[in-house]
Amino acid sequence: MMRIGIDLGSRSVKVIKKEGDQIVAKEVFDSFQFYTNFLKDSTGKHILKNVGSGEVVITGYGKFSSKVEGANKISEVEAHVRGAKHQTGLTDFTLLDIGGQDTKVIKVEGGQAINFTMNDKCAAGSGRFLENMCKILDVSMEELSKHAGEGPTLSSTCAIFAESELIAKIIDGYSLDELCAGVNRTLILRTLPMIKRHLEEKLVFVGGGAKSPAIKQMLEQELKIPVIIPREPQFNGALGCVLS
Amino acid sequence: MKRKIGITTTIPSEVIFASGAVPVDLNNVFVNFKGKGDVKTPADLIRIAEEDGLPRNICSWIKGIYGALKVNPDIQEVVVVVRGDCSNSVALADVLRSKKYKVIPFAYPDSKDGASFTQELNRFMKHFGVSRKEVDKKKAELDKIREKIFILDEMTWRENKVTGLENHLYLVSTSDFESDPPAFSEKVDHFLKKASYRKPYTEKVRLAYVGVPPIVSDLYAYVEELEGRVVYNEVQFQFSMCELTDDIVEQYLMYTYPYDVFGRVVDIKEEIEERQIDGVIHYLQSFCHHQIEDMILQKELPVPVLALECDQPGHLELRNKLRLEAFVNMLKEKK
Repeated sequence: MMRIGIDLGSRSVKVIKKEGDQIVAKEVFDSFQFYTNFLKDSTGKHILKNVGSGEVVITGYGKFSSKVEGANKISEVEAHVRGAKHQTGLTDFTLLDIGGQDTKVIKVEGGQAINFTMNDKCAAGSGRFLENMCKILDVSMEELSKHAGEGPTLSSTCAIFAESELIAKIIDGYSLDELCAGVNRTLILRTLPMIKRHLEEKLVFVGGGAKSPAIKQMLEQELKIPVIIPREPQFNGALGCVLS
Repeated sequence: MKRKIGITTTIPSEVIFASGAVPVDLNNVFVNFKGKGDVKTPADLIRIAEEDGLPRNICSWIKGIYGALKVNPDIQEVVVVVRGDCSNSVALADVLRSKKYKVIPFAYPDSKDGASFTQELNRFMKHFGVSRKEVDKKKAELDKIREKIFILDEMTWRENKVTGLENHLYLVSTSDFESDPPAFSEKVDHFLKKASYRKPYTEKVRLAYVGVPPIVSDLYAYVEELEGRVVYNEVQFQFSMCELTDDIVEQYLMYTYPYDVFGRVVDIKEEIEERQIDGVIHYLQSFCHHQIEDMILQKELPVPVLALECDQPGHLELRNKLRLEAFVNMLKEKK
């Protein structure tokens, strides 16, 4: 039987198709494009089309407004814990998910989520923050994610104010390498208090943020525990949807 | 018509009632606002306050109280609690004075000290021109209503016949008894009778709600949609005084909310055990000093605690729905 898992995130939508035990397709869509092109009927109501036959399981922000006939909905925490357990084979770990607008830290013991924390209302500890900073520095996310050295950190609690602070650092004469490293370090500083609240002996790192080698390196330096990035960090939630 | 005295949180309302005036809890006026002329919603009351100069990054309750006063010109006297509630209230008191309101400050003592509280109570009684005997008599009358509220609370967690929202609404109303104790008492009687015929609720997850009352309207209903139910509203229960004593000084020293967080922790822990609570929603109002106390509650309470921050009145934001859903599901899985 075919199963489709959809993680309707705030910045991107991740879709996984599974037949039997095999993942047969996976794709990332821009959220705005996805909601506009695939999720609207003629009345403007959100409705998922063209998913073909099979069981559909959805998670993420979008599930509150999306109506998918016959689709099951599961919470993000549940989806991510399932995905991470499956991908790593671990049962006791701290799960860090850095997504587009949300960062969450989940404490998993005996294979079950026993507590979690999500970031406060500001996006300063999320992928959106990194994207915005890339725009100011005119670098790609790939380039940004290479820099784990020393750099100026940004103290603003607001992701938007941090932009003006970054511009001030540019004027101060920091190099691009230092500025990139400073941006990455800032995200780490926002995230560490949440992680430390739920720290186990291993950290599993998923979400779009886990694609950054610099963030991984900085986490390892700070926490001094292994940081494990599974094979499909960005699809972890969608994968959790297709696992029973 | 009786003289109306606005209040910014729970105070010994017995004193105001004994003087022949009635207290009006401005928080309830704000959050239950149904519209007056061009001003239509609680969010409009905040807008009015911001247009007058109250900052964007200040708690919405403060601005709501200010807006509520502006649309209710029949209230010109306000008791502002300047210690034991909210530090922003101190500045609000000055703003109200500058707008020619008559401000009556009320300060709970720093620690639970009977002599200090008695001194404050005496000052308060003197302001309203009432004697201790008159206040004690009024307290005895109000206590009869409080006893009914305790029954309603027990029906929430022991008999499971009252929703989290109903519990919240009745308990939160004990700060001013809806400015009409006999009518409120009758309303409670009617509700108790109605609820007694209900079949018990069979929720999968039992929750506590701690912290100041919610500014959003759909939190309790959403929790119930997720197969959970709030069976304990901490601060609202405290507003009702929880346990009665004839001595008004002792009564308001037993009231935990105005004092340090550790007294609240002891109280919450006892209720978690007695009411068999699986998890705690710690409500945080944006820009409120109580947010700092989250670190203590997270550490001290024996069950998982979800910190839920809200800012504006209206419905829960998606991000908070997401948090509540994940929290309730996690507690379901744990059982």
